[in-house]
Amino acid sequence: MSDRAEVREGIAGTLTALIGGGIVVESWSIPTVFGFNYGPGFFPGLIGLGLLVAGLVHITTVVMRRAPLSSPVEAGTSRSDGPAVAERWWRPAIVLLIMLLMTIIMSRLGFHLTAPVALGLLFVLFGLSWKFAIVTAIVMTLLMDAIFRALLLVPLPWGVLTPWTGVLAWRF
Amino acid sequence: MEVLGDALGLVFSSATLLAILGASVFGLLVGAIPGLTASMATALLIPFTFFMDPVPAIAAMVTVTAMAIFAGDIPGALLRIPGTPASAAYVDEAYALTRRGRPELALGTALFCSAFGGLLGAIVLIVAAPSLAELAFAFSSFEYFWLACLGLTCTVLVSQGPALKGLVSLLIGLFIATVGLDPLTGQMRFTFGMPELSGGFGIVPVLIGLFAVGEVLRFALKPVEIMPPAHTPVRHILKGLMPELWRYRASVLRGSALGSGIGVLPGIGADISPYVSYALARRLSRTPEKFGTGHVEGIASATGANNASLSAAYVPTLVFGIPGDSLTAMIIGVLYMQGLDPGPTAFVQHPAAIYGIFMVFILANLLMIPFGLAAMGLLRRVLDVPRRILMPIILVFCMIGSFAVENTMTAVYVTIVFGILGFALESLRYPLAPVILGIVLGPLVEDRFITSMQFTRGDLLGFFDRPIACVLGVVTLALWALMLWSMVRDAVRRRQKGGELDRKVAP
Repeated sequence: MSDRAEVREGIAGTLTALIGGGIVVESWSIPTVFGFNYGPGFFPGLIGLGLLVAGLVHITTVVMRRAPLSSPVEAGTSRSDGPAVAERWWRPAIVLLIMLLMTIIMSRLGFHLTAPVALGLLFVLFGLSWKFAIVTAIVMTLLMDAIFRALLLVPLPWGVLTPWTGVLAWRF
Repeated sequence: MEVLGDALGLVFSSATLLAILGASVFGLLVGAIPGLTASMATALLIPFTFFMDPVPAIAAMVTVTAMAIFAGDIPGALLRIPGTPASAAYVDEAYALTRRGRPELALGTALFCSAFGGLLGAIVLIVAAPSLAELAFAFSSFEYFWLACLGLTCTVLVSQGPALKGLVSLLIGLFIATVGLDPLTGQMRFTFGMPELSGGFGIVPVLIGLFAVGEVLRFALKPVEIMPPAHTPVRHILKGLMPELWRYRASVLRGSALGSGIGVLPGIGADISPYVSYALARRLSRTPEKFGTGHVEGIASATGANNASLSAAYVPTLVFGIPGDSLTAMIIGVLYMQGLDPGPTAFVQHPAAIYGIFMVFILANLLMIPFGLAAMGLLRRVLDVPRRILMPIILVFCMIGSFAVENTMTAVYVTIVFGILGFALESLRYPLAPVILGIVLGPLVEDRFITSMQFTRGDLLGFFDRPIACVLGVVTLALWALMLWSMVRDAVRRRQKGGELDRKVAP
């Protein structure tokens, strides 16, 4: 296991233990109802305890591994695409940002204006040309509108286009 | 007879047939695209089932899983990319056959053996489920608790990677299930003052987020395009296929029977059976030296087991409400959404629907042959679609699909959050299947556990008083002991190995 992987595993174990501890503390604060020996916090408390213990075991395993596996034979075995992947962390972050912005804006601007923009940006992010992105984004938006709004009768938000819903519903 | 007539009417209605047709095309299409999994196909279809009647909805789900699992063999045979974790068991064997210039034999074997295995698993389902449902009426909270625990234990046991990570995934799933109103006392838990979370997390946004959004995020991080095969003609699939399969009929039958047997066990599902079946076929083969060089016997045995266990996994799903794997966990979500609560009472309250579901299994596996043959003909076009075009479309479909089920933006936020969780867990090599099973089985486990604890007044030995509960409990605890022992043994071996390496390196 490489140093990078060891750190990652250590963080994962610590996070697990912290989340488990947090759940235990929060579970204790849930009051027990009169007449019930085991309140609503009992079962989540057990889960939290399980996570806490699992996290601590994980950390212990990483620490125990660290000394022997720092030998040159094992070190660096999983480093092949490490730096390349590390440099691309911004890409999933951008995808999430686009998703988040689309969700926030969609109820105001409407599905029909936000979906093509989001799709177009995602196409460009994934390396497609602007021309292809614009055309495909519009076509896919119309297709999704046909499936979800027209066929499944899902009330997709119209947003700023609400005053023209009557006219546009025939088009879209 | 009246029930069977009603069931036939439900299955051969235009709505059900249309759902089967649509789900077949969708399942084959998604399953055949390298990198897109059967789980993703199933998760993406769930929002559409919301708008269907119960039998068409379940028919669509059954069909899409069966078709996508088979279609996963197509990129496996042609590109050496397993479509599903299960098909990884025989991907090298199928690809070796393709490299020998016989892709049509690899694909034809996968198709016919998948259909045969699926049919055998469906027969096991039809025979075993009603009898087990009668037995399940005698189950108390203790038996249900231990059975659910056994299912969850098996999920951890067979999940890829270290058991500790499987356990953490399971606990995360169980915790997610506790968010919202406590069903016994009506108190809020872990909602952080958000009234939108009082009903807990909707299963559809959670599934879409974990499987589909997580996959898109992984692609964004590692945008690996898969090159389509250069020259792999797949014409004349039927030519010479039947004599070849007849020669290995014992292996096909044994693999499918084994898959059915494994599928019935709660929490194990389809992922492990092809591995066991392939290993057994190799051990019992008259020509074991041919394995690894593109041997039909290995492919036939493993693909049969794959689809057989998929069908048989519906036995614990329908009878006890305990899913066999992540795919059947999604089906349980749809069953609840459609008001067909799984369990023995479903066989009494909705017999026509249950028998209709049985018939759908037969129909879906029979239709797999003509549809599969057609799909192979159209194969090249599907394999040619770059994933950088597909992924953005899938992502927006995910968001609108989540919104469609609950008609609220909260569902979309939940999808985003669980997309991040799925991405993080997979990046750190935590398996996702235990999370899903934890979410689905969490309420059942908690309810039965608390009820049993109240009943025994906290005496844990009381959980072993009843004979079936005692057997299930002992088996579950034995499995945990086995896992713990193997974890400790592995840690000690690693340490010893590391010590030896250090001594060698030291001057």
